[in-house]
This record gives sequence, C-alpha cells and structure tokens, in this order.
Amino acid sequence: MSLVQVASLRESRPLTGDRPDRSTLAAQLRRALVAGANTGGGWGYYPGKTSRIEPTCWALLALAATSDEPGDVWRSSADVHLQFLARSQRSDGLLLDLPPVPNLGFNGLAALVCQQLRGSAADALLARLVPALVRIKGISVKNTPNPSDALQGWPWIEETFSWVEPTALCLLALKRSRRAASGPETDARVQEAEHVLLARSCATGGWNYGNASVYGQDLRPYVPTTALGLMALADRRADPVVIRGLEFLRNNQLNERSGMALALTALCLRIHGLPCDEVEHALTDDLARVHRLNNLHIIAMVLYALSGERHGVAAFAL
Amino acid sequence: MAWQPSHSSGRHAVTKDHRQSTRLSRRAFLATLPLTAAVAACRQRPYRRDDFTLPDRSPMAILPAPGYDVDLADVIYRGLELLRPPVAGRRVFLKPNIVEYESGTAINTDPLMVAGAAAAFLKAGALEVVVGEGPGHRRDVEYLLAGTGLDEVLTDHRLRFIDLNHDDVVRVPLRSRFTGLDELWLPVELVRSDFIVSMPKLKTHHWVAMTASLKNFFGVVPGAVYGWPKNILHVRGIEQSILDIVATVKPAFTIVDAIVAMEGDGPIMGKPRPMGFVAMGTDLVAVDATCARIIGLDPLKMPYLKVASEYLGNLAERRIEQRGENPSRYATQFDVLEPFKNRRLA
Repeated sequence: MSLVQVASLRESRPLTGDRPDRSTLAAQLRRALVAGANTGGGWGYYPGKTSRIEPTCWALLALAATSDEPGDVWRSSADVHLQFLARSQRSDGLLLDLPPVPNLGFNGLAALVCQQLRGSAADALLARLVPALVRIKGISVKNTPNPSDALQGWPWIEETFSWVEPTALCLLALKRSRRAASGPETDARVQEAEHVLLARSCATGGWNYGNASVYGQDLRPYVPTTALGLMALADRRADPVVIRGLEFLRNNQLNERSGMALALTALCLRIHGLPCDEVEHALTDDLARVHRLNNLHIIAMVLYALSGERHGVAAFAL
Repeated sequence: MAWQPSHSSGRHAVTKDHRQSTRLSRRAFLATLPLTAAVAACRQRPYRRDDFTLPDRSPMAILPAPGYDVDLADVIYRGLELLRPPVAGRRVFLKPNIVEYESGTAINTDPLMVAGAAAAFLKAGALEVVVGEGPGHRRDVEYLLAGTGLDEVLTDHRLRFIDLNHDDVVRVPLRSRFTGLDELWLPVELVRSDFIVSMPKLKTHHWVAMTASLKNFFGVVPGAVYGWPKNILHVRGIEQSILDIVATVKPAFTIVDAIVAMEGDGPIMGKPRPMGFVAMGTDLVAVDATCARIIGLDPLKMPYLKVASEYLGNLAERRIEQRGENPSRYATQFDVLEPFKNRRLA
C-alpha cells in the first residue's frame, strides 16, 4: 500500500448499515466494569480477584473516557483506584502489584493512563515512574546473526530480552512524556526503542512478539502486536515500516477475532486516521463472548475502543 | 514463534549496559548451563531425596483412537478404569496444551480431548472438572479459545476456564531447584486443585527434542507475573524449569493426545502426524518415556527426562507396566530437526 493509498483510505467514508446501539452496548460494558471494581481500589483481571495494574489502568481509562459525570465527581470516584496504583509504586518508581518483579509493559501502560488522567495523584506517580522507565532497558545480546538483538527496548520483566509489546507501550509513554519535559536520556531511549521496532518488523509487514525471524525462518506478524507497534510509531507515518505495517493490519483486521485484537486494531486505525467501522462492528458482534469470559481488562479495552469517536483515543495519540 | 534472541547456538556476549558487572551466584550460574553440564557440576542434587519416592512399577495405558470423531469420553474412561486413579470427590484440573491457532495444524491439544476427559472424570466420580491454560507466547487467550474451538467445548460442557496467565498467584517454594530459584508464584486455582492432569499434544520440539506431559507445565507459570514467553524460565533454562515446575506442581495424571501428533519443526511449525492413540498414566515420566520410544527417540538421550527419572518417575521399560495396547504397535520414527537426530533410538 502506498502513501497515497493510505491517504485515500483516511478520507474514505464509514460503512453504513444496521448496527447495534453503541450507547447501549457501552452502558453494559460500563456496568460490568463498575460492578467488577474492588472496594479497596483497582480491578483484578476477573471479578473477585486481586487488583492488578493492567486491568486497573484500562478500566480507569475506559471509565474516564465514557463518563458523563462532571470532572470533579469522576475524579473523586476514581481516586480510590488511583490510590491502588500509588500504593503499588516502589521506591525506585516502578509499580509492582504482585511479587516478585514489576511487569514493565504494564508500567508503560500506567504511565500512559496517568498522563491522560492527570491530577495530583497521577502526577505524583508519574514524577517517579517516567524516570524509572527511562532507566530500565532490556538486555543487549551481541554477536548474534541478528544485529537487532543488541538493541535495547523494554522487556516484560527486568534482566530479560526486549519484546514488541512492552517496548511499544513504554515508547509511547516516553514520547508523550516529552510533551511536558524532555532530556537527552529520554531522547536516546526513544530513539533506540524506535530502532528496536523498526528493525523487528516482519518481512510481510507488522510485528511478531519479538524478532522478525528465528533460525533463519521468517516469523509471522500478529494483529495485537502490530496494532501496538503502529500506535507507538504513529508519528512516523511516512516510514516504509509503518506503511507496510498498516497494510498488514488492514488486510488482517478481522482475522483475529477477540476483544483484545479487535479493540487494539480499532484504536490503532483511528489513531492513523483510517476507517475502523468494520472492526468496531466485529467487536460488537463478538461482545457475547467477551462478556462470557468476563476478563475485566478486555472489557475495558473494548469499551475504550467502542467509544473511540468520543475521545479520539487521546491517551495513545502522539 | 518469536523466541529471542535469534541466535541458534553458542555463547554470546550478554550485556546489561549499565550493570555489566553483575555477579552471578553459584546457583544462578549453574542455572545458565545446559542441564547435563549443570547436573555434572552439582556435588549433590538440588532436591531432598526424602521428598520424592519413585514407584516400583508405573502402570500406564495406550488406547487406540483412530480419529477425533470416536467417543473420546469412552476411550478415556476405559483408560481410567485400567489405571484407577483416585479421582472420586476430587477437584480435577485439566491442563491442555494451547499454544497458537493455525487452521489445519496439530499444534494444540484437541478440544474434543478436553471434552472427553471432562466427561470421563465426572463419570469416574470427580467432584468438579475445571480447565486451565496460560499460553506461553500469545497473550490473547480469547483468540486461542475461539480459534481452537475450546471456547465452544467449555460452553457446551459448562466447564469453567482458568486463565493461568492472569489468575491471582501464591508463592510456592520449589521442591527441586535446578533453575537456581527458590520459589515461583503460581496461579491459586492451580495450587488449590487436588488432582492436576496434564493433557499435552505429543510433538517434537526444536529445543528439547520432544514435548509431552512434562513440558506442558510451562503453561502454568503466569505470564502477567513473569512476562511472555515466560521469560524467566528461558533465562533459567528450559529443561531445568521443566523439572522444577513438575516437581512442585505434582501432577497426578496425564492424558496425551497422540491421535494426530506433530513431527519435524515442532512445537508450532512442524507437520501433523496421525498416530491414532491416547496415552495415559499416573507417572508422567513413564508416559513421556514411552511416547519418546514410540516416536523413535531415546528418552535417556533427553536430559530432562533422564534427570526426571532420578526423582520424578520411572523411565526404564522394565519398570513401566503397559495395561492397554502394546506400544510397539505404534512404533515409528518421527522426523526431527538435525540437532536431535543423534537422540534417536539405536
């Protein structure tokens, strides 16, 4: 797909036809999230489970973006959940929900959510979290057939290799943090993390979870990883890697039928100014399964994606 | 699959840039060695011998099942009758191997096997049957459940699914410490189960030659805690991790899906190989050793199986009691990657 083709897609009209009432579906999702919150603050992955960083972040993001309450009322009700995140913050700035080690991908997500929510609690958390993200990096493996192994993005957990998802989330968080303040260390981390993503693009476009090839064999790209990679590189739309990635995503946008894959795809397409009606339609078609599995993290992602027109995916926009 | 780094063998300079001088403890150093070298370097085994008792004999059963369209509940129930595991009144946890979805492949335990096992255990008196998995590199469990058809099976049979990557976790001291780790944080629903059943697909494996009942337990380590693809286990050694997890989780039974197995570049990119049997048993080492022999591999040449036979189960044929079909009926030679050709039976 050429730049011109991508541009023409951005201008194309949304599909029309019968669709479920989006506001009714969103209200159901909101109710599920509100009901699934833990009274002490935060959300677990499933109702009744211990609060965790990832579902809490997505739930806060989705509820904030779809709240009709005045800002101060919403902020007041969200405070107990932000306090859960604050309690999870260690002295080194990283958030840890359960032992033994922080999940760096979720720390990147937490930074993005706090950047979006703002307020004193979120800002206090960010003040120590962002420097921690700048400081942490994946290990560098040298002298392998693949030079990108030496590049350092972010691993899921410290002292392991860099992966596409945590790298994309932390890269996005650092890029957005540069709006407030930047510095040479942050700039260097952003630059190297971009190199990680650009170097690991699959031959067919898009991203696998890690490398583009292993043992000389090209690996296949996946939809959720590609969507996240493209969101983190949304400010490099003319790069051939981004263009090829978008082509892969457009061609496969309905091939991975799950709340996570479809929600991330819809968010990514919207960020890139591309039509996402078909994807959102598929999301509404599959909502019964999402509700049945009752993963609050996914429910929140779906709610945020289905309300994209309202909030413009501001939390991930560059 | 996207394991990193992309090297295929040999040692590489691994730096952490700002922390290059990090010193390894002796235990952590041993965990970085291949299992055979680590074992050779150990003056004593990293487990208490008194904690493990090898059975004198390990009964197992191989049952014919030419396709997934046979009555698998009946096949598995007949296996349970031959082996009489103590399931009455127990909460049974089925752990299938769900890795990746690709139409027309033999990557995953067939969902119909899960349905059959659930029905068979309930008929045998189990109090409850739940199904749990924590896919190793794909985070998107909903996609895997939907794609593989397991979601439909769970719904039709009203089976509860435990997402092991995202369940609450509890600290569990390791009963053996080949990884150099003292403990793992494991899913509470798994730890609280009182009869854990491995339900692997029989496949060749590009790192450890073969994956079946034992290797299947990689999937119980929670990704949300340890990252994907269960990074800590790869850093600490795959074979070491297999041993420590199985020693700690103490699975009670295994049911191997070898109706259509996988050969060649497994566990994902290999080719389907129809074999037409189900292997079952209470001793996972014995069942895996038998499966290895059936596909033409020498279990003694697979380091994790050899070490497992010292404390987790029986590997020697004379200690394995076949109560179903004679395994020789299915004996063949699987295609394996070049590095594993020397692991074939003489």
